[in-house]
Amino acid sequence: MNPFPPRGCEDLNREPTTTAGEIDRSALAGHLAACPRCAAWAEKDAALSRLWDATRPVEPTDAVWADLAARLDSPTKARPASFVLPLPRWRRPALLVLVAAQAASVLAAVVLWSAHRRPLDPATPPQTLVQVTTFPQAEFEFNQGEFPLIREQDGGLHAITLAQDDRSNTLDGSLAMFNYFEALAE
Amino acid sequence: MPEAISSPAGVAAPDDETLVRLARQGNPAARDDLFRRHRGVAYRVAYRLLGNEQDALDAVQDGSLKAFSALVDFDGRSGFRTWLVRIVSNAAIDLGRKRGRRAVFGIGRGGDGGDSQDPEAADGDDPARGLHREDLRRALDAALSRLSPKLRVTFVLFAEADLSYKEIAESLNIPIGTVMSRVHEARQKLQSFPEIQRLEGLDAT
Repeated sequence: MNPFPPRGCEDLNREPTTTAGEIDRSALAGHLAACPRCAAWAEKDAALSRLWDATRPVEPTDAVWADLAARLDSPTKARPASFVLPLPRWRRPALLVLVAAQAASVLAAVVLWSAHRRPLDPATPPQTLVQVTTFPQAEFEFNQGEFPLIREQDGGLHAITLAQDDRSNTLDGSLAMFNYFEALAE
Repeated sequence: MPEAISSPAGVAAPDDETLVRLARQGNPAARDDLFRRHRGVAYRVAYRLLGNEQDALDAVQDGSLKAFSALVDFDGRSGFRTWLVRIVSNAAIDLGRKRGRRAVFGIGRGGDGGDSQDPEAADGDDPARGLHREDLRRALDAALSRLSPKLRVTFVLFAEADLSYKEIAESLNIPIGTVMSRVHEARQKLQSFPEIQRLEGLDAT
């Protein structure tokens, strides 16, 4: 079906409120022959139609479809099941950052606890319980190509986007520094 | 992958309604047939909405997973094709919102356009012809990306999925008059965009 059937003057004006088959095509053709303005519009419309058809997306190969069908057969292949959030491929690096940040926060908590605990009073019995404090967990969502920095402040974890993807996949140090101080100022 | 449901020679293939009923009963071959039958239009719609192959495939995957896991909710008022296309287009819209539409490049500037595995680039066609078509596609994609999301999805459902005004109205939950006016406005805008006007004189056949 041609998605852009040529229409004529009043039909062009009426077009938004007409339905298929309502327009008399022979009368329309006569009108187009007599009305340069509508003829020009119809020609543009037909060109757009040709362009649409010529650029119709080519379907993926059979191998790609087979891979996709296999994922549908086994949804766990499509979405890693070990995490709460659905994880498209582009989010995996973000997850690694999150896990690393959590691990770092736990390690920092242990170090801080060790550094600040009071010396044991010889009169008190030796402690048998070990208390580990962790920072609150947080989840962040990043777009592909972003360079985030996750830092702890006021007992919480905060993310700063240091740079956006500029298609070079490299981090501009000066821009990252600028964004970092901008974020701190907020 | 399950074997497709075969039909003896001379016997018409089962219609969508039959396949849906079988798929609901847990028949994987019926579900596979449904997917095979309608994956093409779902992909083309997602591609037009997102502008690149990888995101379009992700949208088809997300939408198909949702559709087949919610097959019991399919009430049959619209055809399965319309239903699947609606779910995939919603998935594409969600994906576009999260990821943004990837940048496209203008005519003659080359660039990746996000289509590194374009079969056209790999087939045995005349390279000049492939390049020409790729330029046209980039131009149209750039123009589509300038439409508002509402106009874009309405127009793509109309022109690519070949849905009727009524089906689009039901899919988008808007009045049929709104569908008509959006299609009309999208056409007008596409024609007026410089990306399209620059193509005047080029043969897009």
